[in-house]
Amino acid sequence: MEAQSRYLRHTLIDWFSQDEVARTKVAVIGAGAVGNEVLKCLALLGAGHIDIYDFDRIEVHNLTRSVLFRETDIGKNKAACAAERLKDLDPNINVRAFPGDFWRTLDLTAFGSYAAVICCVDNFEARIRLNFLCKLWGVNLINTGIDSRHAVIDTFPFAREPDASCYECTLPASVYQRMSQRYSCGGLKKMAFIEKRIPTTVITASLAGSLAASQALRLGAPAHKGSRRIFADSITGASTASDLPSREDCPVCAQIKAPVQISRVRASSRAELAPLARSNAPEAGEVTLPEPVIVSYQCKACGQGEGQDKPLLWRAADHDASLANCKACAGEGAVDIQIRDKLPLTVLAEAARLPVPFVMTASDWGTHVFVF
Amino acid sequence: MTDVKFIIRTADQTRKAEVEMDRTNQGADIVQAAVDNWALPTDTDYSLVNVTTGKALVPSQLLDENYVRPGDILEVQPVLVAG
Amino acid sequence: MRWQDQTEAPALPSAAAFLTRLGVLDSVRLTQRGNTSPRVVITADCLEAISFHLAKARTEMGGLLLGRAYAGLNGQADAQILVAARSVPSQAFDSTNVSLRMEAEVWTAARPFLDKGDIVLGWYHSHPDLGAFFSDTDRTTQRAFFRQPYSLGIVIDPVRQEMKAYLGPDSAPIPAENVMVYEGHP
Repeated sequence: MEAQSRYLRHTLIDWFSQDEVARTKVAVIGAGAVGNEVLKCLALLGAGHIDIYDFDRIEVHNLTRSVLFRETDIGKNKAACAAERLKDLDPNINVRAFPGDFWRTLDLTAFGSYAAVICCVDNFEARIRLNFLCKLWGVNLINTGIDSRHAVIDTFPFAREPDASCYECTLPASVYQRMSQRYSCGGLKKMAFIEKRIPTTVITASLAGSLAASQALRLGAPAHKGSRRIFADSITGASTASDLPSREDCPVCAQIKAPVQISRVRASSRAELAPLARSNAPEAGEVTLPEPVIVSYQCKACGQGEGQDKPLLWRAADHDASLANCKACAGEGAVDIQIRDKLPLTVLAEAARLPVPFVMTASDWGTHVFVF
Repeated sequence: MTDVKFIIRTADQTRKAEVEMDRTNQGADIVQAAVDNWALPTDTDYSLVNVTTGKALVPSQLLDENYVRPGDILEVQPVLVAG
Repeated sequence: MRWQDQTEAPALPSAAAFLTRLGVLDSVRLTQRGNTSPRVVITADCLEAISFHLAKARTEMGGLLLGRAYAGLNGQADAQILVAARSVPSQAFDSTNVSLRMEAEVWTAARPFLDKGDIVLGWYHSHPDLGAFFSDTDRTTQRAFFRQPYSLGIVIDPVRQEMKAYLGPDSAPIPAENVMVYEGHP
């Protein structure tokens, strides 16, 4: 079928540019209830390039809110299945699926090419992480959220306004307290934590999905200045649009100093450290990691441990609180675990391989991001 | 010590109250008062929006005249986490 | 005739492109320090060639510095990383208030590298047992002949083993910790 006749009705809308939509490249993180609706809208509108990220598999209870999934899809990866369905919806568009944790599967060297990232995840940790990436990379972010009645769509125009307020600027302190309940020792997951399940329906999912797609496709146009939140009530139809102010002590904005310069570098190994070794550069500095790492642990009772001579550099997220129980002397909670999100340059020199996708430093020029 | 009188309501507009508060209070204090007085679910987080001015309030924001004027309507909105 | 040269300085390549060739530690070393003066990277080969040349005689000698200048680390177009990759020694070197004399062969020797994309980054010269500093004459020379914002002037005292670097038409001193030696060829 010829693409031109497919989009004929769109071309009759005087403020709608099909060409521009076809050029747009977006990332949709999370192909759950909201993700399905966002993807459906983007595909039907003819958005040219859609990348879908999700680690999760389709379960039977997803089917009431997932227009793209069928009963026969149960067990399939959500991103891969959604991508297949979108190609059915419109063969003219380019769709790619990235199964797995987006933190691992995102190509950070190409991250800056997205016109918008649409966040359709179901937890604060992933939102905070995406917000951090988008703020740092200067990529527009649309955040979505739903419950059984309301939908929220936050627009952060970081590409045009790098100083725009971010998701964490208005995040209440109670969210951090809630998140800390799930973790002990600053980053290790608690062993038995039961996630609260929030019931939702396709009503709020489709409300959030259509508004998010609309916002994402409008970001290229000069529009409202600053970050903005739409909060909609699916029962009364009432909605409020509000400006999102910046917070001076925002944990994200305070550590990112414009301009941000992103460079791809090689992860260091000893051989590659030599070049500037003869310089009289001070080695007292440190780099900031985008996630905490375990540098060492040691049992306070029996002394058994690792990382005292050579730092371990394990992602804290890969471990849970059972690490605090000593395997050698069976001492419960006896192990002292050192977790860091900053590393001195001397440690960086010893690290053959870093478990994080990038590190950051600050200079008098601004913020430098080194992507591996 | 100056007080400011304003309207506070929930996002679904089922709860509404007139509140008088010292301007040295923070946005988070209003949210806490709403959660306590209306027994809102404590497993949810809330943010605050001045719907009269169309501006959200950061949690640590003091209720000074630039942000909350007498008679303004403030809405307590749940922070939505499902997706 | 009144000649007002209006040739614009060439747009400099992105510093990110240079950092890509380094490991993360060197990238951090290059960017992380408490000033906004450019970082000067001299290849060890270049530094050794200069030292070898300047140790030959106890008279003032010098030559050209070739290499690359990179920009963009601060979101601006001015140079933030200068890479001095090679030197072209001058056999006849005479710097006075009114002239800098190097023989034509210097340019002939520089040409192949310039054709490959190097630029004339600046110049180097010696102050045997006088201390490494820019004299008024040196400043005048820098202003007259090495007038690009990225122009680098390096002065070395081979006797006292001192080195100083200066930048641009105003001969702004570059902090010593900004000058780094690179083993190999970036």
